[in-house]
Amino acid sequence: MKLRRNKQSEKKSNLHTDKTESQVHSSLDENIDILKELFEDCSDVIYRTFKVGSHQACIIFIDGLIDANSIQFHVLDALEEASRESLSIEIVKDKIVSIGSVKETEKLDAIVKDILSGNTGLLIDGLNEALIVDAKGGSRRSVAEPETETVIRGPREGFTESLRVNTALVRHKIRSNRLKMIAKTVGEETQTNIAILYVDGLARPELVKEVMARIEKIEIDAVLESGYIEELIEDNSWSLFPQIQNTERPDTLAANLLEGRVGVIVDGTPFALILPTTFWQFLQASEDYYHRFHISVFLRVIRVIFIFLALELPAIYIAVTTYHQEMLPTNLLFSVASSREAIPFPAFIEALIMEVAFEALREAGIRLPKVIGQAVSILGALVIGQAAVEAGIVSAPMVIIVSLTGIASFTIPRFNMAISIRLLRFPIMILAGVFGLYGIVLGSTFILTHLCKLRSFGVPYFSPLGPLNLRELRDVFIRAPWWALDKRPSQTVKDDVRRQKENVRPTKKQRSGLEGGNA
Amino acid sequence: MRRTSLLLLALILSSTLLTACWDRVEVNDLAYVLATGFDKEEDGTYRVSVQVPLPSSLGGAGSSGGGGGTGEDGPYFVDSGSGRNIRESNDDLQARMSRKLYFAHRRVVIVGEKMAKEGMGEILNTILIQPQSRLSSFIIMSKGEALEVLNLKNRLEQLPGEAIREMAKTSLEMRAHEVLQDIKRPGKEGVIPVIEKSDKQVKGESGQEIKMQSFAILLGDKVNFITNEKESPAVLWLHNRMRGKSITFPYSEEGEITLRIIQDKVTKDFRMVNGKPAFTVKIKATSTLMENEPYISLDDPKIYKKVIKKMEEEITNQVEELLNHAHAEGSDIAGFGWYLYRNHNPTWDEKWKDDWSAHLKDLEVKVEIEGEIQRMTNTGMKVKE
Repeated sequence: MKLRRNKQSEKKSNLHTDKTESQVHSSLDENIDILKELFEDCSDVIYRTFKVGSHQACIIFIDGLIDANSIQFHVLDALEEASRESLSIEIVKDKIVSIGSVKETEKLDAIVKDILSGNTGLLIDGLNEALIVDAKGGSRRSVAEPETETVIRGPREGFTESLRVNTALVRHKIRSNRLKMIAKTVGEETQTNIAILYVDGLARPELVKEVMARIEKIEIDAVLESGYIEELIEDNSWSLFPQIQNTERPDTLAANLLEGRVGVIVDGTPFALILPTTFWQFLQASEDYYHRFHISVFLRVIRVIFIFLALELPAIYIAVTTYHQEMLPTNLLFSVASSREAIPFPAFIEALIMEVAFEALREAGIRLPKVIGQAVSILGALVIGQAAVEAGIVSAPMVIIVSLTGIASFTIPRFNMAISIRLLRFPIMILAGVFGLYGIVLGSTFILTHLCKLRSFGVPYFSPLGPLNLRELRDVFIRAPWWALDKRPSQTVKDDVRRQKENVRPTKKQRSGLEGGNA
Repeated sequence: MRRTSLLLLALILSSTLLTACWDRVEVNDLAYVLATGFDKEEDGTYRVSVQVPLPSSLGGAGSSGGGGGTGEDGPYFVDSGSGRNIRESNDDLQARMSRKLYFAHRRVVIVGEKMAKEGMGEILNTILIQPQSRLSSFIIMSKGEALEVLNLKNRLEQLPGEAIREMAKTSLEMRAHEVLQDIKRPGKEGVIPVIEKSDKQVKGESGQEIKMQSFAILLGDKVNFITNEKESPAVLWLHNRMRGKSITFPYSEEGEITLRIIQDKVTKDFRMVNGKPAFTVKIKATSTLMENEPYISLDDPKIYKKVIKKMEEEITNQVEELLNHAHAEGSDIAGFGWYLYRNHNPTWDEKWKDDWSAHLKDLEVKVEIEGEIQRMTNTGMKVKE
């Protein structure tokens, strides 16, 4: 969305259009006047004037964004105790103010930007440089378990809305100087800080460059959530399938960074972006890697089966009962026929009604307060399902099909992929109702072709199944045990492929060494 | 690129005009035929009878099912139509049906006796040509009229068609494509099971039920004769289907012995004797001793040998009687001609092809049985009180 500057907005002084007053004046009063005009009607901007020796000084900050204690001790107290020697910015910076992160600047607009980000500006009368002190505070949500990605085994930390906390969480995981974080700001009004993370030597340099180029191209007034960035930089915005993954968990992000991907953390949202992605990544959950491989293999196979069911089951049912009755086993056919005796709708309409009702139920369930949520959903499902069958509006097999489909779509670990599948179900159902099994095959071929054609930042979306790479499949349909995952995936990492030493498992000699000797 | 995709879209959308949305058939608009019976009347017209289940009284939970299953009829009904050929009979039948006849689930074909004796070729042809019909349907002959047999109720299964099918599975199942193959094969004749009505064996209950015991031996596509009680097991022997069945034979005046067969294997050996083919049929039967009325002890090798000898005699009698009868009538049910066709084709073509039935009459066949009793379930010791 391009920024449209109409005549109206030019009346209000905007920092970015106002290029005239960007120099810090020596006179404190002039500076304060300029600032007060910019921050007119911003009642949360505080101007605290005090005396340093013989000079007037002023700190400007936004109430609620700073750590008051820090400012109190390290700036105010420190300055008031300063001797009355001649002051210069260097002395103030080097000797007096004892806070970790301090910057000096000559530009007024830099001060304004920093004040808006939660820093404190220090202006001293007579000096035409100002100091920007980083003493951020304020209350944000604390680190808690992410609600959208719960695990049975694994860390329970989740990202929060603060950029620094999030990058710190990732630093905890990857303690290497090769983990680079490039800071950028997007959004004219929101001035959102973002950080682009990658591991130098693992991520391909072209990829990092491309990501930075795309982000730099963004010119938008607000970036409130990583989703804004996601849609602005993804390859094919029209496609139903997401090409960028998002996660609330630092361990997921760290694991992906170590496989050569690039992460984007956005201030103000706990959801970090991971790119590039493939289709099969959306079927992987982080706890697959923490459990032993047996259960991971089982769960992954189940997920693959159920993603197919979630897409095709209602369509197959419609197609077979409407056009291909000879394909059902005879006894099943009689059950279906007997339950459909009194139903007034044809199979396709019935399926449509049930599916739409189910989607509405699910959407409503999100907004139910947690206390009554459980009871209402169970009762609703039972009562609606049972009552509808008894009233003869829908048939019992249809209720089974719809609930199976609903369950199947919940097995998909990532929400954005689950949505895509749920949406795609309807066109395939329509195709099945119109063309029969032929329609299902047609629709599936379309989807498959689209998936193979899609690329996410240069990586084919359907690899390692699309361009077939048998070696990589050991992490797709199954999860090879950790001692077998000794190489990084080759789609994203070109050099430095080896991740593990070979033959790390305890050898027979080692194992049997422990056996003897115990009583 | 955009133009191409628009063009493609237009093409696809216009192909919806070719579609089947109005070919849509609801599950409840079809009458699923489970079993059909074919009869021939005196004046040469065909009579086709169908057995159709009533879905509303089958299975089905909750909804308005329930009624109709009480008392008399089970959840099915039988109707028939007649005409000059099979299709006309179907049309006659359809005129009285509110739902379209759907033969894709028909799994049993019953051929009436009169029709079978005149030739089943046309029926099998119908099954072969119609794409809706299954070539895996069982072909069964009925003694008497097929229509009567279709009406018989069976107490275990809800639908008699299912009952007939299950019975055929345990004895000898001959599917349509197998019967067709046998008819067309030079030198082998087909066999199909026979069902008949039999009176209920419970005192105080009258009525009739289905019984499947004997087999019909074909010659070409006509039924040649029906086996009697002694010959019927032999059919199973020759078709390797005796596994799980038992034979009973007298051992001495004290009683009979029952053996259950757990393995049987049939092989044929061929020799030329004086320019004529001679066959030996070898059957190896392994069995378990089930019932031992004379209380003999099989530990003694002499007694064991005696029992085996009696067993082999019994089986030999059965098989020989069947083969003699069949060959006398001209049906080669063991497939000796087929063996010759495959292994000695030039000679077959030259000498025997044209009148193999005549050759059968003086075909020398020896039957050799090799019997074995592997396990015993009782040791033959008298239970002392």
